[in-house]
Amino acid sequence: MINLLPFTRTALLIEGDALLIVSVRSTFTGTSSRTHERIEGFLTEPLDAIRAKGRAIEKTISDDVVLVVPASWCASRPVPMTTQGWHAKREARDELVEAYFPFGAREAIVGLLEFTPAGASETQGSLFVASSSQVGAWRERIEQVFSARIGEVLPSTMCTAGLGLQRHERALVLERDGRELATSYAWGRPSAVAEPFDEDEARDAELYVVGRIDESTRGARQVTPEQLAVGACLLPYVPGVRYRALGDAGKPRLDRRVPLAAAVTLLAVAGVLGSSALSDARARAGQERVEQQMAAHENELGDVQQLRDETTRLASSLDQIAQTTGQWSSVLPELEQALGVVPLDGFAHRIELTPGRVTITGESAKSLAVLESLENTPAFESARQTGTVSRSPRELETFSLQARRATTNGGVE
Amino acid sequence: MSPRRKLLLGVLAALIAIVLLDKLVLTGQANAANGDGTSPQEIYRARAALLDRQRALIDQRDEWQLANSRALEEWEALAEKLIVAQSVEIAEGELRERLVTIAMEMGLPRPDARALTPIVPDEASPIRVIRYNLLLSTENWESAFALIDRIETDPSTIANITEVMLDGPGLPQFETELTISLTVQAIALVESQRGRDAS
Repeated sequence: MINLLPFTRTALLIEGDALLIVSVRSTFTGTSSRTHERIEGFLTEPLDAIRAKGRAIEKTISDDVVLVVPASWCASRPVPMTTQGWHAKREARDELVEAYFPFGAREAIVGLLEFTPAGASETQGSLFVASSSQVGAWRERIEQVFSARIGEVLPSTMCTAGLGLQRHERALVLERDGRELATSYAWGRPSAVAEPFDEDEARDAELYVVGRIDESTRGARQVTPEQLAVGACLLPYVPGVRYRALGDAGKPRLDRRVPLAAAVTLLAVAGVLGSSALSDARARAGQERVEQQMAAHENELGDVQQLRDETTRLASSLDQIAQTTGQWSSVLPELEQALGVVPLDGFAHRIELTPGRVTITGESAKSLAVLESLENTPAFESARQTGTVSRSPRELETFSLQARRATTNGGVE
Repeated sequence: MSPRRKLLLGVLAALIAIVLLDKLVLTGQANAANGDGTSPQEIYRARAALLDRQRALIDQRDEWQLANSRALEEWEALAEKLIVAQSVEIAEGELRERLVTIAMEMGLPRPDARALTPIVPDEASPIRVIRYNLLLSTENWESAFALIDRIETDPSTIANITEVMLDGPGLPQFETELTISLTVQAIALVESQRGRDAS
């Protein structure tokens, strides 16, 4: 059984003229039951005597009290009805009661067991009807003895669903209380409710008997009143079963799973929002500490930052100057080499040295020799004539040569 | 589907909706209240990281002190050779004065000088390469070479000659009038008064 929240429920089971009081307590670690008392002559003994017995166990009774009435008090019948919209089906229920049950609609208190047999997809309903005056007498006496109010009245047949028969492929619970009524279970889920007992059918099933075991039910397992009371307490948590207790004709009973789910949801919401808020608060507190520490070393940091910025600025300027002047070199060696290509018997009229090239204009006995000399100078390359070679008034060959500088000395072309 | 399963799925859907609401709406609104849409956690992490960097910088005080001393020493040696001026134009004028002085000191005629477009290695830096073209006449080529040498080795300036033009008949065999054209570049430190006040 899956149970998300703990609960304590007390079942008051009517057995003849006795009242059996059993509580079931479920926690996260497990479920336990405790039989508090069996009060004989509950309805017949003097009220004071019963009160004296009741007072001793009153504190052990939970707020959630269910009264279990014998199967013989109830009539039942399969009906095409479910618990959904139960409170709105009053008229339909009254018509069914008038038509099929030995109670007048005004006298009857009606309940419904809705179940989905194992492997089936459609739900079935079984209507239970009991006499309100018969139940009312016990209800009134109970409320006189105990301060607790009865929350639900359940027929014992409904309570057999809480016996925990899930381990049997087929089980049959026979209730012998004047009549013999059998309720069939498949893997713990009802498949037929309060049917006449069929011995042949019982052979294929695990048989449980509420009441005496005789020759016809030899080998069956006895269901004690205490077990039946425990079943009443666990009924809301049986899978595949929904129900309306006898007399539950007004507002629909709040499904016990709804507050459970609401509580879980609220806890989850609180957890999510709480963790978020807590995380935000911790972050803000941490930020505050950080700001305090920053403020504490503000002056020291300012000094170092200033030192760093000044050093970085100086280093940057030094680096820039070094990069700019890295290629700078004297122009004199190349100028001397350029002049050196003109032989002593020649004349240089113009020498121009730019960052990329050298241009020499002049005259010589052999201009080709000057061109070869320029080409062979390490500082220059790709030497060529750029003008016409002609005869000068000195009977020399004029020349105009140009060559690329092998290296530059940092100028802009 | 069983009612219990429906219920659990419903609870799960509600939780997902709440988480999304918290993350997308509530947290977003809270973060928007911070001004720039960042969460307190993000701000805290950023500030903590900044604190770590600040502490690391403080721990490096000695290293920065040493580096600063070295840079200052190097800078002071270099600064003597820089043309320091409040504008490029003033620096160019200063360079012109220096070049003219050199020529005059060598007994050469006063040269004509024409400023060329300066080179800016980095706009953000105060370092500029200012350039000048000198034009003068001399009677012999030795004077031209001496002038070039003197400019390039001037201890008060970081200077360099990028272009030379020597124009004259029969150079160098005959002593005659030569026209000398030199393109000189020098390093200047241009720090405007306004910029210094601001810094």
